[in-house]
Amino acid sequence: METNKTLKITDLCHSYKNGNSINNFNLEVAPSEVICILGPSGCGKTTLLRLIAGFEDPTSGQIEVGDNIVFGENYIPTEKRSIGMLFQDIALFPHLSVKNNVGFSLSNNKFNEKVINNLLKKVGLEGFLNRFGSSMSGGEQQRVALARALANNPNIMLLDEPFGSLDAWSKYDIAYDIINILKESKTPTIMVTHDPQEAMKLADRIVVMLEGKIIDQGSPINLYQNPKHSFSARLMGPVSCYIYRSNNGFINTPFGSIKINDSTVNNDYEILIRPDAFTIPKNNNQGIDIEILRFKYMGQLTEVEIKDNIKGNNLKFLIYSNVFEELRTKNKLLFNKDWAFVFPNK
Amino acid sequence: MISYIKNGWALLSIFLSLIVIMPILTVIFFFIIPGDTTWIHLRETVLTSYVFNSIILILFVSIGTVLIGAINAWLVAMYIFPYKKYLEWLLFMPLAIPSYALAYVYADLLGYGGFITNISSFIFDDNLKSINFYSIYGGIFVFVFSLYPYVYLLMRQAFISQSASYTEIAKISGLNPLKIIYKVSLPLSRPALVGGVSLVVMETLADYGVSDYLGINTFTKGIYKAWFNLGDITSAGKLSAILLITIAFIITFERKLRGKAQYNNEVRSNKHLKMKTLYGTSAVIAIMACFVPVFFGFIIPLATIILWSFSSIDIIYSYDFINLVFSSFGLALSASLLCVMFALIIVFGMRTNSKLVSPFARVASLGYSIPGAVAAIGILIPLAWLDNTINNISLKYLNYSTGLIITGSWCALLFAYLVRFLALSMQSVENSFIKISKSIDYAAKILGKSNRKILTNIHMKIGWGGISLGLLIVFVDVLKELPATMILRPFGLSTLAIKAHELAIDERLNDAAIPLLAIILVCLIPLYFLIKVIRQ
Repeated sequence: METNKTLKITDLCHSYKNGNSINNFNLEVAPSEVICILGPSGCGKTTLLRLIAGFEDPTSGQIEVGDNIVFGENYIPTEKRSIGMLFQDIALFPHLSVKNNVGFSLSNNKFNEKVINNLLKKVGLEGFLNRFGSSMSGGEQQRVALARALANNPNIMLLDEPFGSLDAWSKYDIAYDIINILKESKTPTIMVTHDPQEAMKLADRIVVMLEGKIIDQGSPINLYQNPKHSFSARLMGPVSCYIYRSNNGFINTPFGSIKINDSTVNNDYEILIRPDAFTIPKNNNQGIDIEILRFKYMGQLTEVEIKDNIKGNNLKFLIYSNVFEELRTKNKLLFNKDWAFVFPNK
Repeated sequence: MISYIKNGWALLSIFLSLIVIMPILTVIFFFIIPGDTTWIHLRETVLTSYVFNSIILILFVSIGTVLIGAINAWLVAMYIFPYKKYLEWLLFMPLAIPSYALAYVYADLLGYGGFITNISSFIFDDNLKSINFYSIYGGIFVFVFSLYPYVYLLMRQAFISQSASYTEIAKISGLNPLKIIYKVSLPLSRPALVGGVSLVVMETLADYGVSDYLGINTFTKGIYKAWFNLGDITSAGKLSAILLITIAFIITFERKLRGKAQYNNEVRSNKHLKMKTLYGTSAVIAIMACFVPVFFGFIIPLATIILWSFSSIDIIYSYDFINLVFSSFGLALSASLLCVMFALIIVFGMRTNSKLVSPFARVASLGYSIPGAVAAIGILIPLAWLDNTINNISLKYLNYSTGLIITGSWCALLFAYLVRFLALSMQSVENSFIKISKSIDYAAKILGKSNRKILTNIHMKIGWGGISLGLLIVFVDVLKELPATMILRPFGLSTLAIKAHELAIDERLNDAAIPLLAIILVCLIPLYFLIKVIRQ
């Protein structure tokens, strides 16, 4: 029977003694969609997973898993929510073999070696039936955990930083495999992480959380090119950050003026500029003249220090290293305002 | 809130905790009710001597155990010397011998016609009178050599786990070795010192066997006398309440000290102090320092009891002795199963809802610091009331007298053991469950298992080591227990400990030897595991 594999969260709130941890949270996840919840520790991302799983109860709001309301008008306890979950510490039952771990949730009539072998084959661990967790690598253990979670065909999958404990060099091989398997099974997936790189590589959609609220969301490219919040701008890639005061609807920077919508009051603004904004003009009539005071090579990027003719002090900005090589010879810079993000300074 | 209600485990855990807390509340109740004439009489005559004797005992036993425990812990943690690898573990051995056994042995050896008295009179030409061991000094001697391992255990651990960085900083700052001990190592291990001394104080206050045998008027003995000799439950209850409040004060004091002194874990370093090797005279002094407490606390008592037992070995085959073994082991086994069952439910309840269950569980585990006599009084009153109520109802409606079905059976006794020893089983179970990652619970839950299945199929299987240790520790403690068993035992029931005590009081030490030996042998088993765990 084809089940409706979706998740819908409406107006979800949750609070601890010392304040709100989840504040009016709304989210819908479609079948096969992989969503990464990204945010600093304490932003409420793990709490969100715990609420969906039913380890804790929200103070208000509604959670629907597939066709069932699991919290809100109706209440379904964790064990009946049809959810799969992977944990950072993997959590294979140490006293059980791979076979018994994978078959843990299967009823007696469904528990047979063929079913379990098929699941293991899916995660690339055929023939591991009688092994124990202690004799396997972290990646292999996480694959077993995935097979275990998939055994009862969950309606959604929750991933609580599942690749955090894996070796850096093999992490993405395993992560891509796991995500592909989940997509094949059409299971909507919510993954929690604090690593923007991981989120960009694995997610269809990234949801940025801060202090219990969604502050931004979109596809990885969308968030990189068009962030709605200074925090997500910083999170999704390198930026050079400045604070300048507006002047009659314009902000004057050493690189040029940026128009803003509010021309009535002059305010302080936070300006974040991606390295992509800086290129070298094709002909000499274009661009601004720059005197390089110092620079620091940082691999792909170079930090350049120039004189700020507006504030009268020195100013640093990030530029791609290959562009910098050209800049050193030409001392002229072209500035693309589309890569400058302006936010009111709080 | 919804999951609280749906979480039957949390509620069950709280309910079980409350059962254990009830006797504690009963005792506290006695503090506020007015006393009768017996109480006034007791207060005016013997209460001062109870307080005085208890304070003197606590004071000198603390000093003695700290001296022996801390010095030996320091030697073992900081130096290498010949025979250290044996002495280090032998220093734990007095834990296997009940304090009252030490009292019987030394009272005999130092008494008139005793082995040591005979030798000294031979050497000193019979001018020396026998030492009066039946006194508070005898009590101090017994407790010091019987209880110093508590201080040794905790201090040794504290010294060993102390990061070398602290001493290195002290050295760089120009402190000499003595000043380093005084200014750095000792203050750093203060929580362990306070912890060890609190255990010693609580054990001393809870004792009945030693003070009864040596004729020292302490609180516990007073409680027993008020109940049995004067038949006055109010006075027994009032004495219990005073003792309980004193102990609550000690625990609070200890927690406060420990709360402030959490500097123990600040530096997480694997770098430990480098041990120095001792040679010549200093090595001999170190060996002697470690050997003396083992000699007095373990070798002499064990050897004496073995010697006594030679002349009474035949009783092993007697019907009475087999009966004793069965009733003792039966009681100990039932109590340990009961305690571990409660512990499993409560500890698992704490896992499912820590915020809700923990406060109750913590209060319930305070029972361990309550002397057996106090716990017995706290149990006797509500259960006697229950017995009477059942009897009255049965008489009224069925015209049949049930008699004392609870206080007259093992029920009351098992309940007392539960109150006293639940904390021990909870600790073992908790220690083994703590190693099971919380994600394991979540994984099982999300895979559709109920809490009961998670407990039986996962936690009990992974944590079986801790669970069996919990069973064993309670078993041993019940086997040694005296005061609660004496107050609450049904008519005709005796245990190895009670029998040994009665025989010792009747001066039939040779006959007491076999029951004592049985207790000691069983006590050696958990001690073996304890040492094995510490070695790891």
